[in-house]
Amino acid sequence: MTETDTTPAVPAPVVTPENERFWQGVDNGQFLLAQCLRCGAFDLAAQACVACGGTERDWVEASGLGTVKSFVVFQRAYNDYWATRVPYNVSVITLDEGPELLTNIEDVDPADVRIGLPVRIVCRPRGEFTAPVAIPR
Amino acid sequence: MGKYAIAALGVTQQGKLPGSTSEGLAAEAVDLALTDAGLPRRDVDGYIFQPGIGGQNNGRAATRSALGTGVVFEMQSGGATAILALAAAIGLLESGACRYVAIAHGTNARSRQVNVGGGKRSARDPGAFFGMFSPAARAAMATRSYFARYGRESKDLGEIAVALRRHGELRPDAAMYGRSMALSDHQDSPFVVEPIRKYDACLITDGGAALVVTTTERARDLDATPVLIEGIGATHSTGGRYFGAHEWGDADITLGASATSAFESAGMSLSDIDVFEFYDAFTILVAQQLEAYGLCGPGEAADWIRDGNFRYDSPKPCNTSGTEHSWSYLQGFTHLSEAVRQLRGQAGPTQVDHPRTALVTGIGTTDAGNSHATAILTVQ
Repeated sequence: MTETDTTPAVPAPVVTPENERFWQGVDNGQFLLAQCLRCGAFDLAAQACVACGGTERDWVEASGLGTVKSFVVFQRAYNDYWATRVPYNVSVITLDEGPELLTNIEDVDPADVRIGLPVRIVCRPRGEFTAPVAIPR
Repeated sequence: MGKYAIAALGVTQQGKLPGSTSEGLAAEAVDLALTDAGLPRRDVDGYIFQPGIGGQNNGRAATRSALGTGVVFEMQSGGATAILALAAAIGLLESGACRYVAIAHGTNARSRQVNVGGGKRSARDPGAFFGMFSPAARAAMATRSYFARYGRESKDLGEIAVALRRHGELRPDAAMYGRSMALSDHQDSPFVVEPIRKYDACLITDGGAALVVTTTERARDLDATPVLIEGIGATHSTGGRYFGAHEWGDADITLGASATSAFESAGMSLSDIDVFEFYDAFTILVAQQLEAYGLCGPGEAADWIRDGNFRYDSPKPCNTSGTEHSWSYLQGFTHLSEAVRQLRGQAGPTQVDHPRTALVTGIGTTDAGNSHATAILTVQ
């Protein structure tokens, strides 16, 4: 008889019609961004373009490169899954293409996390999902 | 502007009120407002309410207060709601739909021990997959950016926490009455979401507040001194373009635009303001607003406060009740009610000397980003 895993599950990513392609890409190990066909600006979701108002987009493979804009370290738990990971960082990455990605920085000593740290996005399993996480480059 | 006024104000006891309900507190505040102005309850034909933190519904307060309401609706734009509700009330009045509009807020978040940022609902937010929870975490993102940009550190924000407590400490109606705070207390308080400490965040309290808006002409026939609404401005960030987090990173652009808009609609400038009530859910917001509104230079908020400004008895008095850090957390109603009291001379131990013009702000988080609103109020 197998042991029952009683650890809490990670809260699911919120998939919408506009960002569904992004999450499908992540599941396949691809980091995709939605590019505006009118002005070329990038976004994480296929929604109206903030730069020009255009509504037509193509999903393209992005560089996966960026730098840390800011980050925080949770010292308390707001959720049963994340309680097991305290202290943990959450960061905002400014991608080279422009959009800002909220994610976690991994493979780094907490003391080495800083604003301006160059990172790249890799797709890693997280529970039953795949997460685009940042690692130093 | 100046055609419409706040004709009545009702504020309940604030702090820890076991057994209280948000509807009960909103209704109590409405009743206090009616008594304040000598306004018959059946004359109130508009009721706008903002639910208390944790999503408690205050709509039933209109029934409990037996108002003559023809219009009842809920508004939600976080801390900006109170000021935006003034604008909405003006719309109801100008359109002829209403003659007296009550605006109310009640919360028993303290007694219910609401866990802001936690709970089952927050697990369904886009940021939850990455462990991003709570307004404190959003403020922490902006705080780290602020520290890096201006070479500032935690004790600079501590000056703001101490300055707010200094006012709340003096006010018998404040949750923190008689409870002083030194900078070392702030520095010793634990990190909640680093770099935000416990004392960088506001209180969670029980309490209610209500106002009645009508034409200045009708307000003059009532018992309380009318507080005229001279100007309103608002902006909303386009932040939150990434999953789940709304950073106040564009603060200097977003906040400043709201101020400009309010000053323009009032035909006034910064030098006309006698007292300021800045939205203070987090110390970083106070720093950002002091700078964006031009009271001091970028990155200089802590120095400005160390120089003796901000105090209720200084030439630039701010947050005179201790507001959300030290008086009570009624979102934007905290600052709006204090501004009204200051202009009426009802602020007690922290009364500014005969202020004629007050500036009030509100900041909130919506699903679209961050809201910011500004109101300029006067007495004649």
